[in-house]
Amino acid sequence: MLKFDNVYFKYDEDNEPMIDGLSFEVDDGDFISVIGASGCGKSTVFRLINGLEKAQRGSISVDGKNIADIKNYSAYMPQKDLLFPWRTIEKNICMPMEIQKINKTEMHEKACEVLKEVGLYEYRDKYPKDLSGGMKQRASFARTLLSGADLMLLDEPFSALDSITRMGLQEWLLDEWQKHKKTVLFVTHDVEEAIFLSKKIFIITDRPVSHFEECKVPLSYPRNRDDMKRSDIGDMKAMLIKKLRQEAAV
Amino acid sequence: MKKNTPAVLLTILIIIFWQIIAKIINAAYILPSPVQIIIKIWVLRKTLFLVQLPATMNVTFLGLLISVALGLGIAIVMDLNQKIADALYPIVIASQTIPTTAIAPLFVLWFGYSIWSKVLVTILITFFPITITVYDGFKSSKREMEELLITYGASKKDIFLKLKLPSALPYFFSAIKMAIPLSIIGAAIAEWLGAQSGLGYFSKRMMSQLDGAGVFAPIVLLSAVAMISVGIIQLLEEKFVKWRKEI
Repeated sequence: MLKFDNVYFKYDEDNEPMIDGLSFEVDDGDFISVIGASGCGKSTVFRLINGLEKAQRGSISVDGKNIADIKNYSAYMPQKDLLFPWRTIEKNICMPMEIQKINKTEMHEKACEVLKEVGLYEYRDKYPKDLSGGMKQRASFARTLLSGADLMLLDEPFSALDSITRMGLQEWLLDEWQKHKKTVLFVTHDVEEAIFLSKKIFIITDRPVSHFEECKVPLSYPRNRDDMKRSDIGDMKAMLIKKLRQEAAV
Repeated sequence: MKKNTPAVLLTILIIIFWQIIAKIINAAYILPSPVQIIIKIWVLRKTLFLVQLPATMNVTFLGLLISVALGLGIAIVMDLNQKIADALYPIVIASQTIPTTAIAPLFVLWFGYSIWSKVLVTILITFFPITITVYDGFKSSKREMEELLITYGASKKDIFLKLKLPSALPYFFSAIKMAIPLSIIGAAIAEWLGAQSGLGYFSKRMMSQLDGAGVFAPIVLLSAVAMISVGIIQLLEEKFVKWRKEI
């Protein structure tokens, strides 16, 4: 579905490229986490996918079509909830549909349906300031869902939350993913989070980024927290942490 | 109410202090006491409230209205096009270096004693804070939010209407709160320099008669109108921009 083919990208202010010759593929319905040290280029990969930056060489395609020629192919959920404080929760999550010029009745119906699903229906007329951190992230996820794209780019969405809220939202996210059959690319610094959520983990170990080291997670879905206590999972976690430490030390 | 208590107490203290000093000086043509000013307002109430105040308010309202339209228009154009912003910004700044008292007689020469010479002075003083503050408001919108809208396929118009305009709303209210007293000052200055009615004109007339309380009476009225107007805007701001602290 998503394909990077020999992509090169350099920020104008940098001397060295951030990405050089990167190729990888993501299949439909995958849940893939991308991990790497801070500043290694994880977010740049997302910016290239959602069109905020343009690849200077190579191509990025979704379903065989170059992303320059298509619209609404990906939905981005940033680290901060970025809810608009002057809009109610319902109006906030309707934003992508408003931009797509969907009619008001349909927009309202879809928004109510998704709000019920994420447990925020009663809060539809509230403002973001009235919601907790976890609720705001759920609202932000609802907005991402309503963009209608099959490819979801989640950029450290739970990193600012406390550990209990975070664990709850991870389990909730897995349920949502299984329900909606979307393709998810998930950036995180947290190795345990990456293992718990993903089918596959992409590890960034070089700079400029020329490839992803792939690591398959030996767990099936649905998952529960006890799976994380398995010895092979413990070994995997130790191996990933070691790789990240090596990368951070370079 | 508790929030306003220090301001009320300080104002009362200043008035008492003023009353005492005026009593000591004992020359109303130099420094009239607050009580003398209040008496003067009462004595002159008909001309002050029915003739002079409406004349000044006409100039103020018209000047403010045109300044808001002009200021918003310039701010929007500057935000939409960086080249236009680069061209206009120095001119907008330069307009504030023009000494109003020097140029106002020229406006009287151009427009006579009609309302427009005074409105022009008001606009010259008032449009600047509106333009600059609202322009800053447009620029204050979060880059991350703009990028999020771009990922949804938002056009420039979408970004302006759905992000920049609401982001600039608190700045707009601040601009109006600054512009109201400035427009009143502008109108009064213009009337001082050439008019046949208005509180500024009336104050000047009282000056020529060495009537200290008569000079102060219109000034007190102008201050009261400015404070009430700013208070109303403050209430509207609290109603419509409840989310101000969330940005």
